[in-house]
Amino acid sequence: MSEISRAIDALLEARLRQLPAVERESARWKTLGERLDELDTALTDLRLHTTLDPDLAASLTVPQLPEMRAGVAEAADSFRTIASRFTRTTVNLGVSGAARMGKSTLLQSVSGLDDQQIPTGDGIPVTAVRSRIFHSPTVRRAELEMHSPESFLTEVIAPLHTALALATPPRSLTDFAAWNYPKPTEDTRRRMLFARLRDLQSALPSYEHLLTGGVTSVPLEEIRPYVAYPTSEEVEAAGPGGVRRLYAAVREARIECPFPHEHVARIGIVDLPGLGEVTADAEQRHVDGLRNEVDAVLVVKRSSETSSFIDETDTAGMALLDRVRGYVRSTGEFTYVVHNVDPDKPHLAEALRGQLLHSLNDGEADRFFTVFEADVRDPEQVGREVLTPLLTRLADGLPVMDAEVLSGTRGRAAAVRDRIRLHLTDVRRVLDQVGRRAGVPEEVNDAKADQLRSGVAKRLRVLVAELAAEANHSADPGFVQAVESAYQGVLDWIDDGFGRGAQTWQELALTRMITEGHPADFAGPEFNRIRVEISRRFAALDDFFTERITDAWDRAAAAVAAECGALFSEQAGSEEADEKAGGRAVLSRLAELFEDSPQPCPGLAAAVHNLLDVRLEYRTLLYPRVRPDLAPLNLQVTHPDTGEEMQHVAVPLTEEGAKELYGIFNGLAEQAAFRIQKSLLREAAVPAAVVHALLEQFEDTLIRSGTSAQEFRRFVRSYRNDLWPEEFRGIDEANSRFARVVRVTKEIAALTEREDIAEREEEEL
Amino acid sequence: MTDAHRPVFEYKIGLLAPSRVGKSTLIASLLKEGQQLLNRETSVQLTADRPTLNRINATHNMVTGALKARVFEPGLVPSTPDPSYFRLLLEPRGQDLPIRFDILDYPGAWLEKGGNSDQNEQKWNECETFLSDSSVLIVPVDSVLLMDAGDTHAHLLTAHLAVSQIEQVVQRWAKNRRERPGEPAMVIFCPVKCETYLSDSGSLQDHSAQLRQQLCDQFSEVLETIREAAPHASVRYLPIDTFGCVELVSARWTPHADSPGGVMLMPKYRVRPPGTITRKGLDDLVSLLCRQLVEAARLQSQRTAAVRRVTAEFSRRHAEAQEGFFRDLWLKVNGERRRRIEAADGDEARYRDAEQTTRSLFDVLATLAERANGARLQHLS
Repeated sequence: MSEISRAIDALLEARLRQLPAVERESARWKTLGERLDELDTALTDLRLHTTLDPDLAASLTVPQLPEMRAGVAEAADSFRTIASRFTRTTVNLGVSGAARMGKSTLLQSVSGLDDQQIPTGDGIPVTAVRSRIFHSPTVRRAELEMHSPESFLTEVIAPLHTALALATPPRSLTDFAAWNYPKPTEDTRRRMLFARLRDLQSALPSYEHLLTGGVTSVPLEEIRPYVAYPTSEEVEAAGPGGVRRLYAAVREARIECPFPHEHVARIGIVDLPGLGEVTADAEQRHVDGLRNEVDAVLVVKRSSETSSFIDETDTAGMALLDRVRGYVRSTGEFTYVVHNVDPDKPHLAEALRGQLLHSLNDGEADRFFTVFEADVRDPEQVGREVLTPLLTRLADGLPVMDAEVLSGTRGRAAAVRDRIRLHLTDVRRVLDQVGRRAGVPEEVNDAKADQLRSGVAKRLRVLVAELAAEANHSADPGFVQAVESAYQGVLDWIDDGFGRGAQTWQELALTRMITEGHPADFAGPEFNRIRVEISRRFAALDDFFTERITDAWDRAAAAVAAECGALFSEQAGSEEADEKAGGRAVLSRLAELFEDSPQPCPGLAAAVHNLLDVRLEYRTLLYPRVRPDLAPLNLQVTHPDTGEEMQHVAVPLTEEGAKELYGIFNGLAEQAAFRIQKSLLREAAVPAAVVHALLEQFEDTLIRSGTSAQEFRRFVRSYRNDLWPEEFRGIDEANSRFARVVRVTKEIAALTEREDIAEREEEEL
Repeated sequence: MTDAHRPVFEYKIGLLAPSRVGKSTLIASLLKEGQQLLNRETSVQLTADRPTLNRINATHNMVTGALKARVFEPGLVPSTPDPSYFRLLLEPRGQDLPIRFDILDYPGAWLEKGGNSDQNEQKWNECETFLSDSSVLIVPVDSVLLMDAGDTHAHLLTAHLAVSQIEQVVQRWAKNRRERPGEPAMVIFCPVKCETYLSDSGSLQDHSAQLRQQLCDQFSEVLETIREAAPHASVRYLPIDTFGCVELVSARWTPHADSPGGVMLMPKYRVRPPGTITRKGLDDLVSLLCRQLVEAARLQSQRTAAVRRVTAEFSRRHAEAQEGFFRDLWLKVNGERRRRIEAADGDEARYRDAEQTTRSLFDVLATLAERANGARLQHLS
């Protein structure tokens, strides 16, 4: 491994080491954005509080919040971009240049690929698709990311429409196929763009099937039609049917192949399509895509009879590269010029050399931009004159550029952060004013809390007593009814020939028995089906259980809500239509309030959660009891005393036999259903007992746990304005809405503080 | 020896059950199977008089015929309209020692309601007298009622089982028995239609313990009455299959005007293939009854023998007594001495006869005892 390779490896590893810090910052900015959103809702909540002074309420706003939010989002985005820059496992070189400058030839010389893969053309643009080429010592393959119909329309067709100032671009492929493009105009550029649209339109059938939006792998030998425009020979050869334009469906190509140079192990080259060649809009999109994807750019420049000078296209191209550069300050470390020298025409090379010296570097060689000179057709020369000096420079220059990117991003983020801190101070000042307006003596608060607790206790006591009375009945009438109705359902189903009709059942049985020569082949599966169905039908008891538990929630919720003043009045009012959801909704809200209380009430929250977490289910509660009753519904049954295996479906293979079999099945199924019903009714007291125990437990933990009295006081401190708005006008620090705003501002302050610390740490490092 | 001196063994067997439990069916199968069993396995034979035989056969045919057709519905055997006495003879083969016993069948509704009209009340009084005089009381109990009445109708169970009516009759019987401690006293509780709950006749579930527990719970007052009023009476528990090959499918309480609570438990059965009748428990009942009756006869014969031995000894002493020379001469002259000796010889022969009967009955009992009891027969007290 050469020294340069080692340097590049070390450089990439150094980048990876910085990654965690960058990711932390990215996450921190994301959190900050979320907190700002929360601050917005919390402030709105507080403003809406009925007892708040209207003037104060009006000043409880942060007018610049949207701008701050945008700034934070941008910072988070920038850090994310840097993170992806630091995650890269290669140093990526962009190769740029206007058409006909030898860009493709340079790519060939670097990658070792030939005309079949990277086409070069004399005079016409040939590279149709942006591709990235990576060195791989063993693999030769190309992965093509295909357009979806949508991305094809927005990224390929729409920019052309915009450039031609045409009406809204086509919305579907059908639209596009049917679009009527006018005849060529005088304007060369417009004529060229129109021609391109019409080419794409007429060739649509050749590539429409490739618009999958997926990734496909293609052998390198077959890649040409996917990345290059067809040659004029190909166009002519295709005749009136039109040439295939597979490249139109390709969004990007990723090629892996062994590069013929040393010290290129971790190099990737990104082919930037000829700058200035496409429309301005497309260029911009292109540049945005490249931002932070390339670590340096090579601009290829060739002298020719017609264009040996730096012209406007070059200037525009260089300006565009500035955007790619981002926060990299040292342009000279990022952009390099490759002077493509034709050894046969030294006078032209000389002219360009002079131009470059004066226009780019102000008369001093390599002052702003480093210029490499090489005949790009010669790989050996490219390696020696371009790659080696370039990588040597980058080994030193890249860490500098990375640092510039990072500090540039941080600088911009710091500005955002300062603005947030400034506005936060304003919010705090208003909060202070709000807080000072009210104040309730502790004794009053405690008295109210004790009153609330004993009120809830009384109501729950009554409820638990009612439930105890219900549980003391030997049978829950609702349960008995539910069992009876499920039982009747099963009987009806059995009566209906097990859901098939008695006649059909017997015919089916006879057919199967005769076909198989034995009743068992029919009876076995039929027993299974009947067992499953009977079980399923009794599982309908779950409806009853749901009703019971919902009823318990409703009653518990009503008991609590009745004591909670105005806290649930609005919820109760709005949910009258759907009373079933009511109890659960009220209890869930209650648990939330306990949890969100600025003064914690974990015991009370747990009590409510335990009540809500309970499931009453046939499957778990009763199934084990009835399972043995289904045992006789099997082809083989075991005698309980002797352990003897018995079959009870020995019938003759005749119509009579089928009838007899039907009788046997009927008797067994009905018997099983009867026994299940009986077993279930024996458990009739269970549901009521469970509900009773549940509510008793709820009452116990809510009212009589060690921390209950204390937590009720905290709860009242936090929510007294919401509980009894008439009694507690004004607002104070203990109010939950107020507390929420305070909490969020504190969190935001902490996030911005921590940023400072992190930055200082970085700088010290 | 004249007929007047022949020992007469006569016993009564009473059945105590409300209507529809299956008294008639039980009697019919008891005698039908009893005959076969005894003929097959012992030296004792059971015979019935002609009217009894006819009634037994009629009931038996109705039940077995229905079962063969795979239709089995409760209520197929019509309710008994009048009391009828089944008269039977139990005879040890080759010996002239007939044991006569009567079984009374009567409309179960009478037990529930104490006769319905004046005329019936008179007849029911006769039945009650017969029942209280019985040596053995059989109490058939509907197993389905015990096991499948369900919690919702549990409060009607005592009424449907006619527990208090049974207790009343048992009370009178027990007093009667206490007054005759030398006579046999036995009550047999027989859960019938029990084949669904016992695994020994082909059912896939074994609920025998629950069945016994249920019976003891429901009839606890009756058991208590027996223990108090006739402590020497033996109480047995013996579940009896009605057919052996049928199984309860379901039981539903359906409206029924005459029944307690206005409802009746309607069972539905299925015939378990191949539908062969095997009545477990019945053979045990037959041998239990036979042993009880033979034992009773033996005790009675033993008592007779004891009395006759005393008489014979007195007669002998009287015949051979020395009353002085002239008196003795006079007795000889007028033939009185000869008459006395003849009387003493006759008394001794009767005594030996009774001894012989006792010995014979003991032998019969010994053969009957050779047959082992089934697992179903249990003591209840």
